[in-house]
Amino acid sequence: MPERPGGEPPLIELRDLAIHFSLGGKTLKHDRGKVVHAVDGVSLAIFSGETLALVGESGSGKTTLGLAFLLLYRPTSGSVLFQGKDLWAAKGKELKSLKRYCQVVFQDPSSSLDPRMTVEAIVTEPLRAIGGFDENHYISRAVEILRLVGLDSPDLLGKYPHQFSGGQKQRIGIARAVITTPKFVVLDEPTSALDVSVQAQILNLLKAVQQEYNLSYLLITHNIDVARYMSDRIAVMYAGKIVELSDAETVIERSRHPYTLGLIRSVPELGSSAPLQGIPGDVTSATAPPPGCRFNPRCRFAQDVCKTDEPSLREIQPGHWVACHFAESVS
Amino acid sequence: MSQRLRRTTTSLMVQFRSAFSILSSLRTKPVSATGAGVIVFFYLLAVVVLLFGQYVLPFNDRAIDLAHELAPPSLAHPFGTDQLGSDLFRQVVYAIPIDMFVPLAIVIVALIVGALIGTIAAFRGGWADELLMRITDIFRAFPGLVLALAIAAALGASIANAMLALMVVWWPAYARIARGEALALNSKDYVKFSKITGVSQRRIILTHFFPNVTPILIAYATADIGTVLVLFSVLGYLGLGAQVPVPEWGRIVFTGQDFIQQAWWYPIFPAVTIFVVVMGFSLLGDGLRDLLDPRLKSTR
Amino acid sequence: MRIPRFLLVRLASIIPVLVGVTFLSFIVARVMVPNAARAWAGLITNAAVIHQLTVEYHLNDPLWQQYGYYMYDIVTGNWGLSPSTKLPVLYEIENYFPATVELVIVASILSILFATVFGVYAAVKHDTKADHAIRLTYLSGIATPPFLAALVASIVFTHLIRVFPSGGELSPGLVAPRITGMVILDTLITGKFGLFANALYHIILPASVLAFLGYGIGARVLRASMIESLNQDYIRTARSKGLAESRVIWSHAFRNSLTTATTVLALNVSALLGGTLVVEYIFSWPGIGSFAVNSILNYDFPSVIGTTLVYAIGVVLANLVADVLYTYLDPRVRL
Repeated sequence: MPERPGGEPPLIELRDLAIHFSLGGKTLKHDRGKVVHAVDGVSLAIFSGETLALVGESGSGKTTLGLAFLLLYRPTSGSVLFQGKDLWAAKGKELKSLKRYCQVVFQDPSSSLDPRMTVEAIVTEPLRAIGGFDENHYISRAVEILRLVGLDSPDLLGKYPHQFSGGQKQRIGIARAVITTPKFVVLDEPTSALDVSVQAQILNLLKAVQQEYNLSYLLITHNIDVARYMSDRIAVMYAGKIVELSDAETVIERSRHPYTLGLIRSVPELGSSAPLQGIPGDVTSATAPPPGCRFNPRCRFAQDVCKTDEPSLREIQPGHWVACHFAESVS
Repeated sequence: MSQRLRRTTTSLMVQFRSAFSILSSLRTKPVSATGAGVIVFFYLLAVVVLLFGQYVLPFNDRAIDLAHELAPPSLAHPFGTDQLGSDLFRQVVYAIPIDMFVPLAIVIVALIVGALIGTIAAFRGGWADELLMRITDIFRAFPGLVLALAIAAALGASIANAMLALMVVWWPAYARIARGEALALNSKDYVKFSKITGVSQRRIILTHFFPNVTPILIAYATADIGTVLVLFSVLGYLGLGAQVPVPEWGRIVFTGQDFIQQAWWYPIFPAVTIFVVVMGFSLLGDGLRDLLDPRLKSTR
Repeated sequence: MRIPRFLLVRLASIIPVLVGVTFLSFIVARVMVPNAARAWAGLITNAAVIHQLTVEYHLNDPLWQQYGYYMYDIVTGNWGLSPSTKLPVLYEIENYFPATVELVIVASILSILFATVFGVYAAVKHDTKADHAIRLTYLSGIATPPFLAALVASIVFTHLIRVFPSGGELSPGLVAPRITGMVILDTLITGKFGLFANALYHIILPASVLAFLGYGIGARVLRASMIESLNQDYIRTARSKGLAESRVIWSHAFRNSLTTATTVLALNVSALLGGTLVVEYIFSWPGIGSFAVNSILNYDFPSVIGTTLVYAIGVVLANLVADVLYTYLDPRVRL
């Protein structure tokens, strides 16, 4: 998988990661025993200071993949490496000290903050988990961080989440994610649950914070515009696999994968009344992906080979990876 | 250290404040408020009797008055007298502390033990969780009264053993509820965040789990105290709980039922007292459950 | 008839529970007791008997071995000897068992009827005075200590208004043929309708008291479930289509609550069984409930353990039936 021009190693990367869930217990009878291939053989590297957007629709596995960076799901195979160290092999203190560098901002601010905790407790929780500081340090750090995200009122710390608006809650969520000065933050649809007018504020805040701390972001989103605005590179995901990866402009303007093209064309563009082109068919079944290329039933470029051979991610141009047999001819 | 103490006391005060706000919102449900009133009244009485028993009550000597055996209720003897002429009202009142505090103690212990075991099992997952589920299944196969009786019979008749028997029978139910809540919490984003950040499991349980689940457990527990009282009094009735001369309502009923033909008031008044108290708990618990159970909220 | 696979699986699943049940009873019967030999020997005993029992029950062996012997005894029907009657415990239980089954079945039918009628009606008249009144009645059912309900019913209906007999399965002097042991069934089968009426006359009061004590649990759950069902969108659609209210309630909302109702049925049986002890005792009903109470009063420990086991088995079987019913009623699970 790619290294930066310049040979700089990735900050955090996945190697051949696969995450399979077997259904059991509380599932409907006919689904029991089947295996969900949420993520299948994905390798992805993120470099320091960059924003990589992970784009896909529901069921593509993007959330699972994103949270796999944070060790939330045990991989069925493959590894997660942070600065070269295998995270699943690390134990105890070492693991804890590495965890502080990887944080997350969740999608829904109403459910991502514990309703029974004060703002102070919420924001200082990651810091307290590291421990070793005295009380005043926690409080001063909390005030400092909250000011950074634009929350400045005097009795802020003693309030409860329900006393804030969605945008403010999301700021709190961002504050607690960066209080430990991490290096890598996963943003799981950070603006999807917010009103449109607030979204821009939050996105800009995220950019500002990134500058301040030289953070790397993994931005999970289904919104191409947000991806374009925020990210340096974009990875497109379908049915548990990455189908296209390149810098943002290339993916959006010069995409070479049928699915990516379909996605871009299905988004309404302000000022244009051109008819939208949807992608025919249904999202592929998570338990029984079709043989060959997973997108082939819905792809208008599909040929026989697509039904039998699964295309691997190949570099059709420097820095532009596509998983399609006919990437060169797609446009 | 003192700062941690300050933080815990402030969080406790916050819990109390929210508890009071819940209780005051019971005002909208007059029926439940009546239940609450009854309960509070009886607990106050219990404390009073416990502390000042012999000074406050006018009928303070266990007078055996063979001239007035099995006398019907009157001003002098509101509940009548027993077969030895001794006042029944006095006996019922003296039983208040036992019948009010023992079930409370049983439920508190069962709740704490059950909540701890249930939470830990849920967070550990795997075989610990499976084992807990099997254990609760086995306990649930026995009707509560039957198992409690068997245990009390095995251990020997005494209040302590009756308490122990009921605690053993009761904790699995709370463990199950706690486990269910813990599992639900596991999928909450803020718990995921804590796990990602590296917060220790113990801390997650303390800071996230307990404040969010205790209200629900308490709502269930409140009505439960009444049910435990019923069982405790049946144990007493059958001779497995309080022993003579310790006064206990169920025991009084048992002695009295032999005389039911000529003195119906003898067993009925203590039994009705039990009913009134348990009813108070039920109304209170029902009201609390309506307020705190998210499932019913949507139907308001 | 081919037994469907899920049924076999479900049947097999009760085995570990039953094993667990015997294990718990073992703990109570042999481990919790301070002096097991003495407890099993009874009140009036001597050193020779105690020694004999110690050997017979392997009471000095390590616990795991003891449990093995205990399990074996249970499975082979050797449930011990009652020190007061000198009869085998299992034999006595077999004698008293049918009367309880009979009582519980009648009480269950009444309980289901009450729960359904009151639960549904309360849900339909949600938040009105009628709803509150009904809630009070079923809550008071659960809140009533069993001896209060039994004694009051006894006083009112057998002494004050002499409607019902004060106890027993049949009037003194009458004997029913014994086929199943359940008097109602036996008299019906053999055509002795006079005895049948007499038996019915005797069972009504205790069964009603039992039902009163237990129907509240079912009523409460059913009411909550019906309220939720009635608020669903499809109900509003049905109503707007002009469907008669009774059809809306029964064919639509109730049907959806039916699955909850069957789970409640199982819960109910457990509560009913618990109530049989006191109710049977006060009404002199010759079932295992009064047998258990008398055993306790006579310090007959083996019998107490025996009846505890029977009750647990009863609950497990009742849950099994409810589970199977549930599977048939909920298409989502079946398909």
